[in-house]
Amino acid sequence: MRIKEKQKGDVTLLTLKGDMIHDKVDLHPYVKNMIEEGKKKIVVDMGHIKWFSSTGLGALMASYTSLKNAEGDMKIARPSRKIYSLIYQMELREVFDTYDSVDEAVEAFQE
Amino acid sequence: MNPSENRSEVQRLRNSVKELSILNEIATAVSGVWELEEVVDLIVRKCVKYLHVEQGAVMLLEEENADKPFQTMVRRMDDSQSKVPYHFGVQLSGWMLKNKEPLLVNDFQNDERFQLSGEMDFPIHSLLSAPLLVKGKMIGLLNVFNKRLKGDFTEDDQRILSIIAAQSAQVLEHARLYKQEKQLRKLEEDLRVARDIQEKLLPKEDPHREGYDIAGYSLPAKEVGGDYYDFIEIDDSRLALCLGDISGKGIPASLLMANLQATLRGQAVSCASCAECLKKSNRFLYHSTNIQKFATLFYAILDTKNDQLCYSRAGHPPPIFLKADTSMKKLNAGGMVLGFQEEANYNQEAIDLEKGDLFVIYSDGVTEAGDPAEESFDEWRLEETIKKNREKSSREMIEAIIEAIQSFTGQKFQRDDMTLLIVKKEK
Repeated sequence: MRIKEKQKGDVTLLTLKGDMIHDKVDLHPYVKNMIEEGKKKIVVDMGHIKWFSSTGLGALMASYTSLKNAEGDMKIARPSRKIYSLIYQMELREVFDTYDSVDEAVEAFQE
Repeated sequence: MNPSENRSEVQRLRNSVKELSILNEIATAVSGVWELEEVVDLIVRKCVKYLHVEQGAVMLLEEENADKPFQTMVRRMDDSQSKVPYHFGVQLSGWMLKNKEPLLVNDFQNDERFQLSGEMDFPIHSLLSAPLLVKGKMIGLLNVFNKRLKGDFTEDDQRILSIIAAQSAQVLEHARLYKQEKQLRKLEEDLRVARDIQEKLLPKEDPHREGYDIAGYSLPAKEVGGDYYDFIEIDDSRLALCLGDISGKGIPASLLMANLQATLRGQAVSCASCAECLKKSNRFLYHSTNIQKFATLFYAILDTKNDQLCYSRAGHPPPIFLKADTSMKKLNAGGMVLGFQEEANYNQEAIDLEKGDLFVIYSDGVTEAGDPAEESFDEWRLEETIKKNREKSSREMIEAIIEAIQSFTGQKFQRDDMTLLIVKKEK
């Protein structure tokens, strides 16, 4: 999995590409580094993720927890049907804010 | 031959004899040594001694990490406390990786190829470096720093270091492979332990309850995942059924699985309801896991006296409930995965069971079976298989489902554990 970082005002956009399965996921260490740099408003764009498993969800959950503990927040943009159905099945809809577009997710931080 | 030519010829011969004896000594010393650290240590010590330098180092390049090819795996110095700074090591290995030839620098401070920021613990004035090549591929560097008495390195020094490097490369590569093999064996041992833990946690046999046909089965994947199922006898008429999937693989998942099992066994008898049991188990698991770990769980109490099933699921795939009249529904009541947030609430549902009703609890390894880059077995195939085999016993139905999955996936590698638990109220 590759991670591309882009700043949009005070919100950091992380674009993920590739697979989020098994041990190919290093999102959480990346997010922890960002928190250390003071970046705590994060939008994760999942639009380019090809394959996703519960390991990928574990990485999102850990990233979310680290951000919340640091008084930050995370929004998820463009989750695939598969990702959304896992969030639904694991009853995490109330935890993860999901948006159909990156712009909507970024704007949600301004509200 | 005049006397001066004679003298230089004698000197040349002396040097050659000395070189040969150095090389011979190193070759003899490293033969029979297998441990990487020991081989590195020996080579560095001999270099420091024969080339009259203050420090020596072997830097091995890490192959696996394509993003950081310059990372050193092992560095060995002589006994002095100060060390060559890491960022310089990166610069040097970068230069050598590009040029793949011996490097001799006698005026280090003014050499434009290497720029160091700040004060150095270990001031370098001269250095000599030779690539360690195995079949044309650079596996690392052999370096010596600072000729003693502020002297300069000579062409002869460079030649000797290059020959030592050429001789050592293969030995180092063998030692490195030996080390990797040892690590692999350790990993295999860990997997065996994980498998062992997992196997011991699973029920030895299916429970017998009058009027009910109950069967469970778990097929671990090669990597050992975190599936488990359990039957807990609460009293004569009530039996708790658990099927869980712990995130992650290997020993950590197995240990967490053991933890969850112990928690549930402790809770099952004392908790009044399924929902309460999950709420408490969630709290326990939250306090005993790191933030990357969680578990999905289906928990139910089968009351065989009142023919009722009460259940709650914690983020687990909803089991399939097939009624005798062939209508089908999903057992959806419940709440969040276990271990993610300290406080979570769970719904529960009670279902009255009639003769011929059955329900199938499964882990996601069942529906996600198949190549991740292709189609998976999916819920609809599972439902079809259950409908087709509804007249069979629970055990036979499990066999039919596993068979259907195997014929769907072919010979492909099983990625995840597959676990099934079936309860049927007999006709």
